[in-house]
Order: sequence, then C-alpha cells, then structure tokens
Amino acid sequence: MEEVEVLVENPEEARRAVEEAARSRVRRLVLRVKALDAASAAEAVREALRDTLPFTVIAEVAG
Amino acid sequence: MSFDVLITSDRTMMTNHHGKEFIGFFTTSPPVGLPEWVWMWLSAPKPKVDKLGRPVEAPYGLRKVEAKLLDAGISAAVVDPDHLGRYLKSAKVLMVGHHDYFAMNSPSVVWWAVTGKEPVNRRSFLRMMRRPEIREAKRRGLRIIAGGPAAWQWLWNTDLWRELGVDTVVDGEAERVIVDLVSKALRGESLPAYVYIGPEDAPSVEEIPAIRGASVNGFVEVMRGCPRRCRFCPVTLRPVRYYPLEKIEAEMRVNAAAGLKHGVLHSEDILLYGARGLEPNPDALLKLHQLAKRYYRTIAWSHVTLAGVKYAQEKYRLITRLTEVVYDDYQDWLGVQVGLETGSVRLARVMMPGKVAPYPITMWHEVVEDALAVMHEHRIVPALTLILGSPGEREEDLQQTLELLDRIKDYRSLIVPMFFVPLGYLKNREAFLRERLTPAHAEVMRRCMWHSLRWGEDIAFKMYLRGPKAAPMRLVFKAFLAYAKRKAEEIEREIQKHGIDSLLHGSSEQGRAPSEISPVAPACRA
Repeated sequence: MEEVEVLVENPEEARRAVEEAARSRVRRLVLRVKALDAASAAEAVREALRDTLPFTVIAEVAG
Repeated sequence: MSFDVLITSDRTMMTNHHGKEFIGFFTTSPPVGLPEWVWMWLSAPKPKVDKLGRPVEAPYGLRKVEAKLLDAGISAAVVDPDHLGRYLKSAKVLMVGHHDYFAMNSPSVVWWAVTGKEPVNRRSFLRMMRRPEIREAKRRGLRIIAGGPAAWQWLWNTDLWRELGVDTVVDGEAERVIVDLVSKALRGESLPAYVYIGPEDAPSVEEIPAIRGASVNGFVEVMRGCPRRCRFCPVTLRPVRYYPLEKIEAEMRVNAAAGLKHGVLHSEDILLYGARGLEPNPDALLKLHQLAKRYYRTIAWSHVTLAGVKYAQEKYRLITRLTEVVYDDYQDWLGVQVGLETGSVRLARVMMPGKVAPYPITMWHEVVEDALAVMHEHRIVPALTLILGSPGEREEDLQQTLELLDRIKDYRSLIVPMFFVPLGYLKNREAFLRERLTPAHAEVMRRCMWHSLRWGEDIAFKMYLRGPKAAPMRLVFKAFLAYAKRKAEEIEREIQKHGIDSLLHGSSEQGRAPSEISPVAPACRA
C-alpha cells in the first residue's frame, strides 16, 4: 500500500495505527490527530515513534 | 536585501570549533573549571560572516537544505544567529537544525547527570530561540520548522515546542519533502506537526543537491546509509548510496573557493566508499583520497569501523596505501571517530554483528586490537566511543569491556564513554545516576578518563594543536588538562578512601567536599 490515513485521538490509537501500518507494509502513514495544536499532536504520537520505522509517518492536527 | 527563508542554528553549531572538529565535543558539556564565555570561545568561536551576515562556513546539513531550496527557486539563506535580526521583519520561515537541541544525546546527557549542570549546547539553543526579535517575528506570523539529527527530541520537549512556537518538526533525510513543506509555509497553508521520513522516502543521489556555500571544516558527504545494520543505529535502514566523484568534487570546489584548506570526508564507514557489500573498493578509495588532496591540504575521516581497518589492511594494504596518498608536507596524521561500543562479545552479537564482519563475532577483541595497532602505526588517531548501560547489559559485559580497555591501553586514542539513557530518566538525571550506574560502570569510566588524559596530552600537543596559530588554544587546553588531571587525582584519592562506589554519588551530593561524599552503593542496579 502506498499511503494510509488514520484518524487517532490518543497515544494508544496512534500505537495501534503504526503497528497495523508496519504489518500492511505501507509506504506512508498519515496520522490525523485530534489535538489542540502541533505539540499536543506530537504528545499523542511520540510513544508510537520510539522505534525506527521502515515507513514515513506524518502527524497532522485534525482540524 | 531580504530572504523569505532563514536557515540557522545556535552558536554551538554555527562555528568551526577553531578548525578542529573534535573540539566540538566540548559544546556537549557544561563549562568545567572555566567561565561560560571562555568555554564558548574555546569550543564554539564565532565564524567569519559576509556583509549579509551569512557565515563563510555553516553546518553541512543546513547547507543541504539551503541548496535544495535555492534549486527550487526559493529565496533562502543560511544566516548566522547574531545576524538574524535584520531579516526577521520580512522573513516568512525560520528553519533550525541541531545535533542535540536539548542535550538529550550522549555525551551531553551524561555530563549533565554527572555535573548537575545544563550543557552549553542546550543553553545556547534556548537563548537563541528566546531572543526578542525571534519572539516578535513569531507573533507576526513567522513559521518555524525544526529538523536535523536531533529532531526527535522535540517529541519529548513539547512544553518548549509550545513556548518556542515551532510549527513543524522534520525527522530524517529531508530532500524529498522539504521544498513542499516550505512552499506550503510560504503560502500560509497549514503544516503537519511532525514528519518522520522512512527509508522509502530517502532521496536518491540525484535528488541530493550539492552545497552552494562552504561547510564547517570542509565537511563533505561521500555516501549515505550503511550496510552493517547495527541495532542502535537508524542509518542502517536507509539504502546505501555512493556519491560519484564528480558530485564530491563539486562540493570540495565550493569549500576550496571559500578558502578552506582542511576537509572531512563523511561516511558511516569511510572504507566502504564504493564497496560491493562489505568488500572494500581500493580503486574508488584511492581516487577519493587523491581527489580530496587536490582540494584540501589536510583531511580527516568522520567515521571508520575497526573491522574495516583490519580487513582493508590485511587484504589490500589499503591503510598504508591511503596514508601514502594523504601524508605529505602538510599532514602526517589523520583523525577519525570510531564506534568501539562494547567489549562484550555477547552484547556485540546482539547489538552489532555486522560491525565485526567479515570476521566472526568471537574475534571482536582481536579485531579491535589489531585495528588499533594498524591505526597507531599509521598515525591514525581514533576517538573511540563506548556505549554503557545498553538494555540487557550485565556485570560480565562490563568486565569484558574492562579487559578490552586493558588490552588497548598502549594504542594512541581517546575513549569517550557514552551512556544509554532511557527517556524516563531525562526528567530526573540524579535518579539515573542513583539507579542505573553501577560500580563497574564507574570503573570503566575511570579507565577511560585515565586513558584519554594520558593520550590526550600526546595527541593535543604533538598532533592536534601544533603550529603558531594554535598557540592560544594550546595555552587554554594546557590549563584545562591540568584542571582535569587535578580532578582525576582527587577522584583517585576518593576511590582509595571510600571505594569505587563513591563516584556514583558525585552529582546528588554536589557542593560537598569529596571527603563528605557517602560511599553508599546505588539503591538499584540496571
């Protein structure tokens, strides 16, 4: 799969989305994060980004 | 004159470290025994700038971003941090890069834990970002994009992310995404919060631009990626790409035109330039070094592996042949950073089996010693980095490291212990010292200290700081070494009196004389 977009609300959902993307061998994962600002979005995804990942992850604030 | 995009970093990055890249290590520490301004002058002097405040030499990563944006027709420039003010009224984007924004990497994090003082790299970066002119520009709508090898640190410093008003953080090789991101920022469109660039989005050699302005100390990348696949290193996931000689020459020409006479060849393992897998390519390496010596009087390597040195010398006499190319009236020694990582064969098997290849992992100690003997004989001076506190590390691993340190004590080198510091300890560095450091760690650090003090003097005064230009540095360095030796002797006396455990409590009991420090063993061990 080339690119997958997932809406997430918390670190647990972000972690699951990253694990699923790894299994599905996507090239890019776009995490649309329900958050107030960029820093809060980063807080929601940071645990999921601890390991070196074999695909691109883009975290966006879901407006 | 104005620029839409300003690319910069703080003083600890925007400097040539007096033309001595190893001195850059000092920016990872708090000032020790010297006032901060002297420490900054010693480790990070201001660079020469042109009339527009653009540094003659700038960090290579910033130069790559600048080149990519200029190639796309975007008005961008690397600007010295002291000269940002005049452009910030009209600039739309500020891009910052760093090796260690918040002193979370080793060795900064270890110096911070041990001394209890914030390292100068972090202090300097925060000072820059909090300047009124940047805050004012931010209020007016300036977009801030952060990147570089320490980009990940923003994820764990979201309070500062908010305070400093960062819009986007880019983590990884940015060539494929940066033009699009900056274009969006210039158009006022929304930006992603964080971009982590995976190996599939790593740029091809053709997509990597040649730098337009000179790089710090003539730094030139010759390849990207590494086939050795060490577990702790993210570079290994990315594809291996060799720059053709013409591309390397274009960058060397830029540096030579700026008046630089010294250059650093950058690769994760320089002896793999042009290699087929792990098999060295002597012809490519000899041509690379001949080319470098056409543009630079002196050169250094960024990194090499010990297995690579041993193998290249034994099979091709390559170290001898390369130093024959490099050494002349201007140069009779060569510096390089080398990952020693561990003396434990068990841990080496888990963390870095490829680092010993083509030799079996059981030969690790022999590989290290043989390679260091070759380097010693050829006046190649390694700064060896050692990882302590890796997950799963046991007491016997540290004992093997001590055995290895004993075996290599007579080879000219510096040994820099780096601690693996779990993220959980970054908010409480004293707890890290109390809970994770063991007497065996303290003993390893003690041996490294004496090894580096012994050889540091030899390297500094017989090689690194020779000539009349280095006289002021020699003086300051002499004072620093005398101070470090005095401290080391104090530590030795402390160990004699209270045992090695006493070293583990230096930070939490700061301000007390050594004789007052409790020799109590750590509460919990890794």
